[in-house]
Amino acid sequence: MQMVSDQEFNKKYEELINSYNSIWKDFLKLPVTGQSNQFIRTFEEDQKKFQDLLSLCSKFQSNILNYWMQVNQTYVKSIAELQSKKPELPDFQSEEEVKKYKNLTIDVFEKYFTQLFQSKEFSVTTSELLSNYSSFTHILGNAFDNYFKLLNLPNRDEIDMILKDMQELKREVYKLRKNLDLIMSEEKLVVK
Amino acid sequence: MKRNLSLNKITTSKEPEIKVKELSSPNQKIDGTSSRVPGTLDDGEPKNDVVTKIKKIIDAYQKSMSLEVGTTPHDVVKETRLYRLLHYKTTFHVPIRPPVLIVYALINRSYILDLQQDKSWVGNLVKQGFDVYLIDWKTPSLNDKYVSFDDYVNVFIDDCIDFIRNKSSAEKITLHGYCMGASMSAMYCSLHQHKIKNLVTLAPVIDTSKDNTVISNFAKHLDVENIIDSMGNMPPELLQTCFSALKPFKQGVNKYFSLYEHINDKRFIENFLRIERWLSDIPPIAGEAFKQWIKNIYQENLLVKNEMKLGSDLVNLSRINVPFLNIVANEDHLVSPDGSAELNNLVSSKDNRIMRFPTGHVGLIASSYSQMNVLPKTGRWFFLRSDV
Repeated sequence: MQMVSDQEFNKKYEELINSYNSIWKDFLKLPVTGQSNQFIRTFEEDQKKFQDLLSLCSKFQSNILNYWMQVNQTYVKSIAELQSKKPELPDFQSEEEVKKYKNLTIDVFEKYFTQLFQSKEFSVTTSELLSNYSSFTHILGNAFDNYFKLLNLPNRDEIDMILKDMQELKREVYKLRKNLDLIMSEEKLVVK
Repeated sequence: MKRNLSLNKITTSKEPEIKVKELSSPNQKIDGTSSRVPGTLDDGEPKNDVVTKIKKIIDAYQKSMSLEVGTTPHDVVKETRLYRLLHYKTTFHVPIRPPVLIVYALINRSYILDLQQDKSWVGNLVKQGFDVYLIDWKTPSLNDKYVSFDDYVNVFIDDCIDFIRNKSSAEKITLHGYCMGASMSAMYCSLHQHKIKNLVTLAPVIDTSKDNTVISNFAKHLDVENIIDSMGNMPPELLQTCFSALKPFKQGVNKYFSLYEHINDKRFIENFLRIERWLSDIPPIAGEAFKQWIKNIYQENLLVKNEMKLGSDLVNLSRINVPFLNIVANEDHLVSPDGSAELNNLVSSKDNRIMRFPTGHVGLIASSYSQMNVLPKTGRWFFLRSDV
């Protein structure tokens, strides 16, 4: 069996998922005219969401492998540096020497992990992971849209529109109130 | 030698029998009395025993929520769904004017400014004779996902300032912000300067191009649109994950070793637990405000370029010409000190001062160092620019 690196595995896995997706897409080119056109439209939309979910899962897998690869590499570097400081390591004869070893370990791990967290590569990977998770919740939310319509209930986007309008109205009312207070105070001064 | 044939025992001369009495508990003495001193921490158990220490740690964490925070006497003079305005009870018969309004950040809770009696930023200012108010931000719900910086600065802070001006009959006040609150204070001052007498900022987030902290690194690459669109508000779990990456071993791991070593030091434990409570007390951040914070400030650095918009208002920091004090922590690992210090170069104030202290972000406001070094100098600065 040929051994492949994690990155190569990720690539091949993504390619496989994409090829399944394209085959499935071709298969789903069903006629939308005729008696069952609404059913087929709904079915197609649901299938598209399912495909989006699958390709998202493959990206998520790739990103999570990347994430753990970086964390593990940092861990290995920290251990290697700790080993290289072997002459300085104490013999654990006393409590002070144990403390010295503890402090040395913490310093070494702190140095490498802070470098990792300050690196662009790690922050991009973390951001992509979070983005994948957000997209996942988005797709799930959209998947239930049709059922909300069936039940004559507003979906999330429609509620968001209302919330946005309400917030804008609140701002306008506040500004009007402030202007009114200003006019009233100016009138009082004029009267005086 | 006698032989007891019935028992097949061989006995020598009679030896005294030693009876070993088993103690029913570790606290019980040989004579049956207890070594425990009731009503005190001294329960008679060996204090340096590992198991005892671990039990004490668990016990302490369980009691941590009952520790009081924010104990400086105050009244809630105004309250809405998203904030409370606290007015601290002055110790002086006639407090020093103008009143001081402290604007806290949207991250974690404002009681870090009044953590405990001997480490209270607010308490110290009140003892120095100032008339202190504090905006304590409440937890936004999903209904508040469209609350933006325009609302926080031009509505909430403005409302509080007008309330204080009416209540204390002061034409202008001293505006004093911490961290994100300091950035909001600077934005407010640039737009409504006629209501401000002095501006004081503590570790403001201003120039993020000079910011190499872990937080800045995460923020600059965050796909904030996607996250906020799907989650509404920025959830506390994600914020917690980000903060746990800050000094993960020196603070994240080493602090538990310190706790173990000092478990018998009651004062240390109480201070430690209060900080722990604050660190884990993270409310969500309103979605739109968080989006603006990350995009406009961290990713596009608009504040420094004077291109940041709050609603239809353009924030131009060069319009600020009131007496200005910027307090910066040189060992700050959350907000870059160089990024904070840049504010002094952006304002047009003639009375423009920076104070730098060798402490961290939280140490700047909630430590013994802060009480001994930062607050006396800050108080003196306030006093020299007061109405006295």
